[in-house]
Amino acid sequence: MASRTRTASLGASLILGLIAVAGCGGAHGGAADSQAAGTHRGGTLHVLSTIDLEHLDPARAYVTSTQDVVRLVYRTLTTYAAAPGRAGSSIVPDLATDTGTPSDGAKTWTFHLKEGLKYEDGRAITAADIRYGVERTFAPELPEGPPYARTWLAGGASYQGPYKGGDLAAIATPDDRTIVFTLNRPVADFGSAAALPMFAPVPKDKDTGVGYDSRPFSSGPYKIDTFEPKKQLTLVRNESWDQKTDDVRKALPDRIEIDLNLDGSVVDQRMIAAQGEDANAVAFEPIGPASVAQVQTDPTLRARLITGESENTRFLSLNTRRGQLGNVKVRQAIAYAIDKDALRLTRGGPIAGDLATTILPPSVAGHVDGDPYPSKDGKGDPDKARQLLAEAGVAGGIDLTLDAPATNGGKAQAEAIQSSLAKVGIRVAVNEVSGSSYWSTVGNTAQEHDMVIDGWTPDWPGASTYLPIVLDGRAITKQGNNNRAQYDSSAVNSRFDQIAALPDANAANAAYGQLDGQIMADAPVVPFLWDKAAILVGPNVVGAYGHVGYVGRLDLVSLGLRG
Amino acid sequence: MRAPSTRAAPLRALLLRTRSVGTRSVLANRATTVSLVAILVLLVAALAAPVLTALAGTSPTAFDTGALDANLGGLPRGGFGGISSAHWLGVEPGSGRDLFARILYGTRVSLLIALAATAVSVVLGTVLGLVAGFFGGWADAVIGRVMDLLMSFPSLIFMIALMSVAPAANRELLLVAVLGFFGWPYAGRIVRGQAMSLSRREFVEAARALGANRRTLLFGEVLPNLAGPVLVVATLSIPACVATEAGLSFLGVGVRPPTPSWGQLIAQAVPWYAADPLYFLLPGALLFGTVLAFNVLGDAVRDALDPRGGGR
Repeated sequence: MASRTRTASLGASLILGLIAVAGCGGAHGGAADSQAAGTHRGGTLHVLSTIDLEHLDPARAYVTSTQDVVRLVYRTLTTYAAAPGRAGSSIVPDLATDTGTPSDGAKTWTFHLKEGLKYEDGRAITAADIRYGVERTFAPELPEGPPYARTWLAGGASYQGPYKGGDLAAIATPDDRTIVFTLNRPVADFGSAAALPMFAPVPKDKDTGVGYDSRPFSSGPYKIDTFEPKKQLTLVRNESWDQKTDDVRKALPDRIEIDLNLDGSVVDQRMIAAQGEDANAVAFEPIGPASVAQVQTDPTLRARLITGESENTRFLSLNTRRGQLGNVKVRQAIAYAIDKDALRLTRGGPIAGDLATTILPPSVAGHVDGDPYPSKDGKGDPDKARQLLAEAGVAGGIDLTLDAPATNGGKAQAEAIQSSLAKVGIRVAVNEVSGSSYWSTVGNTAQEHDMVIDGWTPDWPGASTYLPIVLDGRAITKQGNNNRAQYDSSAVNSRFDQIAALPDANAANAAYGQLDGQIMADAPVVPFLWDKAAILVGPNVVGAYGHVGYVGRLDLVSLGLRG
Repeated sequence: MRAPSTRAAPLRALLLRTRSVGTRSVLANRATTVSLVAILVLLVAALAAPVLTALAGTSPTAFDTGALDANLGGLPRGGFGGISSAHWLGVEPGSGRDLFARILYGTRVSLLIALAATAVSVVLGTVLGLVAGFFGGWADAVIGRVMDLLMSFPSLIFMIALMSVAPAANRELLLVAVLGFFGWPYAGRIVRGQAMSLSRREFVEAARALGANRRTLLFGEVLPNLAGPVLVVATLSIPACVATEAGLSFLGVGVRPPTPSWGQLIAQAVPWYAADPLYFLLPGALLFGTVLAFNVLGDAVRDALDPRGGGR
C-alpha cells in the first residue's frame, strides 16, 4: 500500500490526462516578493481541485494531496516544516515537544506531548488518543494506510486493531503526555514517520469505525463543517485550537472551501480570469500544458504562478524478468535511447521539472549527482544505444510492450517512448490500461508487460522509503507490487539490509545515494523527470509556496488573504 | 411461359432511373456535386497518404521537438499552429508530430473503419431483413425481436464497456465488428419492410405462379428491387459510423496510439483550443465536412431513387 503516496502524485495527474503535473523551471521563488507571508486573519479561501479527497480518516489518508488538506484538520506527533524549498522537508515537532527520543539502538522511541493541546470540543488531547489512532490502522476495516506500524511495531504482525484485539503492548502511555513505541528493529527515521496522518490523535468515543472517514474529529486549527465526497469540503475555524501550541500552522482564513473533481481546463481558466471570489482562490493541482503559454507570456499571470519542487521521480521500469530485458546491455541501450526532453515536453516542457539522471531526486537527502547515460540536452544517444544492442546480439531490433495509462497524458508519454526507441530498432506496442486500474494492473506481476511508465514519491524525505520499496527483489509480490522492474540483485538486496541496520539516518542516506549509482549501472529503471509543480494562485492570496513534502503543491497551512 | 421481362424489369428500371433521372438529379444539385467531389478527394487523399506524406517529407509518428517552444509548454513555434514549409498544416503541440501526415493517416483509419463497418452492417441487415421480410412467420418474429433489442440497447455504453474489457484485441477490427453489429438493425428494418411489400407484389406473385423456387424469388425478384433502399441506407450509415468511431476514439476507447484517427486528434486537441486553435479546428472541420458531405450525398441518392419523392 506504500504506492498510495505515489498514486497521489503520479496516478492522480495521469488520471487527469492533460492536467498533467507541471512545474516551473528557472522561476524558483519568482513569486516570492508578492507572496510574503500574510498576517491578516479572516476571509474565505477557496481551493479548486481537479481531484477527489479519497480518505480523510487519519488511518486511511495515504494520498499526498489529501495529507496536505488534513494537516489543516488534525495534528500529528511531528510534521513537515511549513517552509518553501528544501527547508520544507525537515521534520519538526507538532503535538510532541521534539521529534522523538530514540533509545535501545533506535528500537524504542519516546515522545512527550505539549501542554494545552485541545480537541474541537475543548477537551485535552492525551497520549492514549494517539495510541488509539495508531492502533486503528491495524484494523482490517481500515486498510488504506501506510504499512509502517504493522511492519515495525513489536507484535504488530498478529494484532487485529482495537476493535477486536484490545490494546497493542508495543505502545505504552506511562502518563497522559508521554507515549513510547517499542519496535521490532532499529528505525533511524521513526521521527519522520511520525509525521504521517496515522500518528494523529483519535478520541475513542468519537470513533465510528469506517464512518469516521466522513468527519474526523479536529485537533488542528479547522474543523469540518460539511463534506460531500467528490463535491466539496468546507472547513471552519476550530476555536479550541491554540496558536501558542502550534509553530507550523498560521490559520489565517476564517473559512476554507475546497471544491473537488473540477475539470482541469476549467480550473486553469478560472484561475487565469480570477473574477470575483476566484481572486481568493488557489488551484490545488498544477496547470495543464495547454495553459502554460498563456501564463508564461503574461507577466501578471506569471507573478501568480507558484512553483514547487517535489520528491517525485518519474521513470520507465524495465521488467528485468522478461525476454531480452534480462540482458543488462539491452536495458542500458534503452537508457541511452530514451529522449527525456521529448517526454518532458509532453508534460509541458521545463515547467514540468528537471530531466532526471538518478533515481533519488535532488530534493531527497542522500541524492548524489550523476548521469551514467549522458546525451546532449537529454535527447538520447541512439548511436550508443545501437552499439549496445549490437553487442547484445540484437542489432536486428526487438519487440517490446509498454504499459501506459489510457489518458491523454499517458498516451503522449507512451508515444514519446515509442518514437525514441523506434530510432534504435526497438518496436514498442502500447498496452493502454484504464487510468483508475493502472497501478493495480502493473502491480500484478502476471499482468505487467515489458515496460511500465512509472514513478515514486517517498513517504517522507529520505531514501529509506524510496529505493528499498521500489528495487528490493525480496519485496516483489504477485499483487500490489512496487518493484515493477522486478529487479532482484542479491548484492543490492544485502546492501539494503546493511543500510537498514545503520542507526544514523545521515549515514544511511549517504549509503543509499551510493547504492543509487550502483543500481543505475544495472539500468532496471530509466529515470526521466524530477517533477516540479507550477500552481496558479488568486491575486488576493498571500503566503503561497510549493511544499516539497506535498509533491510541490501549495502548503495550505500557510495561505492567507489580503485584508 | 417464362417471363424474363418481369424479372429484369425492376433492376433495369432502377438502373435506368439512376442513369437518367437519378444521375441528372444527383448532379443537378450543386451541394451534392460539391459533396461528391469532396468525398472523392478525401478517398484519393486517404489512399495516397503514404505518397503525399513522402512528398511533404513527413511521417505521422516522427517527433519534431525543434518545432515546439519548450518554455511555452510545447506550443508550436510561429503562428497558426506552426504552419511552415516543413509542416504544411502545422504540428501537434507537445510532440511536434506533423499534423498534415496525422490528419491524412487519420482519414485512412477513420474512413476504412466507417466503410468496413457499413459493409458489415449493410450485408448483415440486408440478409437478415430479407429473410425476415420474405419468409415472415417465426423467422420474422425472431429477427424482429433481435432488431428491437439491439436498437433499444444503449449501444454506446456497451461499446465503451466492450472496448475496455478487450484491451489487447485489434482495435480496428473490434471497432468494425462493434459498429457493424449495432448498425445492422437499421438497414435490416428498412430491408424487411421493403421485402415484405415486394414479396406481395404482382411480379413476384406471377413468378411464384410460374413455379419459380424460393431461391429465384429471393435473389431474382426481391433482392434486385432492394438495391435502391440499401444504397441509401449505406450512404447514410457511413457518416454515422465516421461520427461514432470519432466519438469512441474521443472517449479513449478507439484506435491505439500512435495510430491517428480524427476522434483521437480532436480529443487531444480539446485542451489546446485556446492556445492553439488550429490544432482543434483542422480535424474538427474535416470530421464535420465529411459527415456533412456523406449526408448530403445520401439525401440526394434517396431523392433520386425514391419514386414518391419525385425530385425537388
